[in-house]
Amino acid sequence: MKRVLYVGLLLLVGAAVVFAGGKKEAPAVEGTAASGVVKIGFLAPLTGDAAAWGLPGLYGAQMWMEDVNAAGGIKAGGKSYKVELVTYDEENVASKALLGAKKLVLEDKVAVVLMMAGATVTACQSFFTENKVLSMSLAPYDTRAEAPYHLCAAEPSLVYHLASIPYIAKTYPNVKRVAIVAQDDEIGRQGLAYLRAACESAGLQVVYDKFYGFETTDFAPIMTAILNAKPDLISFDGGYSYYVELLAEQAYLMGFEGIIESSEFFLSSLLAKVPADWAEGAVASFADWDDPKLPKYCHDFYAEYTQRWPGQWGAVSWEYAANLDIWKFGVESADSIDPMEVFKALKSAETIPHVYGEGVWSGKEIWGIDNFLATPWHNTEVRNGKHVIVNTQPILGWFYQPGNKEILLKHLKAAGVYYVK
Amino acid sequence: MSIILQTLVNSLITSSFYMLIAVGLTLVFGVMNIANFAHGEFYMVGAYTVWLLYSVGKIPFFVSVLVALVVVCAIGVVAERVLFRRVYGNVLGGFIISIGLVFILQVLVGQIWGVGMMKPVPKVFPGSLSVLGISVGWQRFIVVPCTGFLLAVLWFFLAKTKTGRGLRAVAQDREAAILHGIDVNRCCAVAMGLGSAMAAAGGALMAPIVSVYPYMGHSVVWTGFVIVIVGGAGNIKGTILSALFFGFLHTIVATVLDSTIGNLVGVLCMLIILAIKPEGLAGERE
Repeated sequence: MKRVLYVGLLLLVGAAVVFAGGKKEAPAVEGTAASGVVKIGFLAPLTGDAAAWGLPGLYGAQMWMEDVNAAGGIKAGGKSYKVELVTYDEENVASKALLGAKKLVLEDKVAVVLMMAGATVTACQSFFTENKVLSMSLAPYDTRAEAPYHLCAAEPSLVYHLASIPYIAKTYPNVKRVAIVAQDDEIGRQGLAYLRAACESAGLQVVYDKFYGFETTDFAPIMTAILNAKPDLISFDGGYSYYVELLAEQAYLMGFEGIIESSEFFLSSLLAKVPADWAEGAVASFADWDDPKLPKYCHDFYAEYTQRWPGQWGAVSWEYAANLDIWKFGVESADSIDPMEVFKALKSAETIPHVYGEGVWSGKEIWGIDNFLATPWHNTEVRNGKHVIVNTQPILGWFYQPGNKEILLKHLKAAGVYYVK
Repeated sequence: MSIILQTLVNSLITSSFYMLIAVGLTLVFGVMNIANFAHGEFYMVGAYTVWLLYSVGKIPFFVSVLVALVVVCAIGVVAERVLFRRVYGNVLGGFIISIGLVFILQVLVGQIWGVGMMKPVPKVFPGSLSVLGISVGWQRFIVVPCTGFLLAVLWFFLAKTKTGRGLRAVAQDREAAILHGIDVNRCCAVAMGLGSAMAAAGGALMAPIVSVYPYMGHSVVWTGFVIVIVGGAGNIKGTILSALFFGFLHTIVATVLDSTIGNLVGVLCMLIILAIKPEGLAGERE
């Protein structure tokens, strides 16, 4: 009798394993779509150090959702779907991101998951791949062969340093010595590799390149060490706006008179710390969307955004919405909201419409898979308290110049952030 | 030469900030025998008060700082009366209550003012002091005289007033203090109020320099505990000495090597000092 019980128990356990873990298929997105609603997962930091790269993006995504719904929703397979955003604050913590990913996919059955970048994305990728979830983030280095359904379509995060350093070297020939400082995380380390490569290619000397911990509250010792290296240019790498502002403030207070560079400057906060004339000429990679060089769509978006959320405009304000535009293009091309159909439609398109111009899937030579949408991109300078476009080029133009590929791969490997197997 | 001088001034400013935080913590530990982890949240509430009054309400900075001191002092006294008084003599109980208080204050502040973007507090003293080849922001520099003033007031209170002497007596020998007719409960309330106000002073003065958000107390309270433990828990002179030591150590290592190693070296020094002198720099062996 006992043996029968044991065998029965084993069978039950085996069945549970087969049904719970052994079967891998895409979650039933269509099930929720029966109600005429398609859900989108917004999994980004809405609080904490990195909130400036999540919260302003959520506002933009909300605007996008309202506009699409007001226009009748998304049409696919002969149906019309209203869009619903489901948010989860991952606080820039990898474990919370994975928890959020499971909740959004398994409970909410979202059709696509939008994320920020870095370690939080990496933490979710196995789960996304196993469950065939379409996900999109803001960083090309999140794309990799082991995560085939992950796309980076809106922003070339950190890669733009490959464009900004040559721009500075060409525009300001007196810049010879560069200091690079960033927070000690995936974003900081990736950025350092791109910056070192760009500096080497441009013949600039890196005189300081160090990380700081997340617990740092006093940046005076760091800036003392930086200024002692006598740089002409200080790059804050892909620093979180919270740190960039404190570092820039220290640089100003300690009398730095050279050029500062960063992925972005959250100007409404930065200009509360330093005078506008000191920040004049700061080089970044994100334009304010009322720039005369940008199309009317951008101006309208910017006007509505800044009216609804004053002081919240930043690099990511439009980017999650831009990813959603590309996802919508995929839905319409596939005539389906099924994530894998949308993915296939996107990947098979010759070019993808991006707000900065037509994009082409690229990146295999750097990240091992062509899941990064290479588009034109801008260099900006701060002028009269605004990010103004001063130069535009293909984002991977630098990479395809002779010798630069080898330099970049060398620095990515040296920094331990080259993941191609 | 200028980097040495700059580092010394930076160290002095960091030490002053450490003193503000750690002296309040050690005062509470000495009198109440409680490791108050909510001290970092008192620091955070002090910073929020200044953000709310000075940055949003346009009330003069030093008035805002004063209000922050009073508000957080009141929170400390209420916490002592309602929560900590019930667990005197129970270190673990006090610890658990302080952890609860951490969450309550964080969630409360987050619910009221949001936990999204950090709260910007404009500088009160723009510009910097440039002399002998060094440059220090006035807003940072002001922490030094303010700390000196607050420590002087605390010294006067503890050394020259009856209540202050009562606090010292309770810290030295609680039972003997009771036998001498000292109202221990009152002393504990005063210690908690003063300790909390010191934390608030730190948060309020630093608000224009650091960014203000509900979790800003975390790193501060850990540093505070390292300083208090090394100084000799409950020993104010030792805590001041320890704050000076760690302020200089961290700043010098962060300048010469980097800030992450600075933190590592700090904790390593704590372990070495405790291994050699478990009672702390100025503590007395029982």
